Amino acid sequence: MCDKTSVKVANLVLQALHAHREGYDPQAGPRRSATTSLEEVLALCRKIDKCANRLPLARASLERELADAASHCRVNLECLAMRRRRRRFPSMRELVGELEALRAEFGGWSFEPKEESLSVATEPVELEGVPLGPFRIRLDLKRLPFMETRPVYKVIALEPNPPAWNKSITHPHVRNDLLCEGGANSAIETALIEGRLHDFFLLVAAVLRNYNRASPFARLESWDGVPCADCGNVTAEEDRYTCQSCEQEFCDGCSSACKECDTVACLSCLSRCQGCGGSVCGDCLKACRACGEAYCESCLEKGVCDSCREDSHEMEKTEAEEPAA
Amino acid sequence: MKVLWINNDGGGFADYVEVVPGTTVKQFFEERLPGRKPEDYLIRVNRQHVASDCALQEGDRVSMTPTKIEGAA
Repeated sequence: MCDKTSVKVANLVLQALHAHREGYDPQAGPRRSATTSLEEVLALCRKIDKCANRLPLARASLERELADAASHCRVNLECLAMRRRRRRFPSMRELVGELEALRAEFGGWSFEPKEESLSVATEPVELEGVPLGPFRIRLDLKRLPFMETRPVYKVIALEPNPPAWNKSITHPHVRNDLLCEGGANSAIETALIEGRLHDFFLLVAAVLRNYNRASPFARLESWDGVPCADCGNVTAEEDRYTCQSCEQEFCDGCSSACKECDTVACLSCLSRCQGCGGSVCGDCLKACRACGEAYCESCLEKGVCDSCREDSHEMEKTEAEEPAA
Repeated sequence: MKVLWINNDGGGFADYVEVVPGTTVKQFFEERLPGRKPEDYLIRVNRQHVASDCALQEGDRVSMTPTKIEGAA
């Protein structure tokens, strides 16, 4: 069954695809990607040649990188070749079929006439026990002609559960409602260019249903954050520091580094040098042999602080000036 | 006979391929994506769910989309 809204949406998609072709350089994006990935493969080959047999571990790591880079390069070269073929636009009937398939796959779709946006909602997503809620995938049809240079869709959390320390991240791979497509990038772009709406939304949903722990905006393991052991503020993993002395975790404001050895420690495990006032760890804090006060090594000379050395010189000078009894 | 095959794994290419008449969806998958598991893909014929033992017809549109794809940051 074909309703008026489906026909309207199909028409808008077709217009957008035609407009896209008018301004589209079929070589620019794919050629750039193919060239970059080929250069990466060649650079890795040169590095491996330099390693030869002298650095087996480094070589093994580079060979794994090369396998990934070669696979990526193959996809980009295939994409470049594919784009050279004559482009075929979908028919209105096919586009209406795409919309019917969306209804079957996602339980429905919605169209906002003012924004000219087409949306579907996913089921609630849960990754590694962290509930992220359902997401709306909203395709902005007005932006389709500019898909190479601007984001054409958004991924909006319907029941957001962001990390405690960053509200703009609603999914490990979604920040500010934009999805980092990773391995789906080429397929998503191709689906949009060919008007395969069903495939486009399926691909975006497939990325949302997966967690790539090697490259997230925020790691699920620290989604709830860890409070600073001193002030209690919840911070991101990359903003936390482990005290080398007491081994608890602290935020940037409650930790520092020893001025002598750069060891990171909390403010409780660091002491102040009585001379320069700098933060010093227990290993680098020394007592002056004369007064017993605590100083960093830089403020002691032969184990004696500046103040005691001055007092000692004064005493020697005074003794030298006094007439012999 | 020819069917339109859309491989959304990788570059996402769509192309007509030759298929032996009577080839089932399961057989077609095994030919095109050897070594992969069907349960890791959403397989649609003419945009619809079909049984794996369903025989393909001339002009069918077969798409295979991974159920999970790695995003990035």
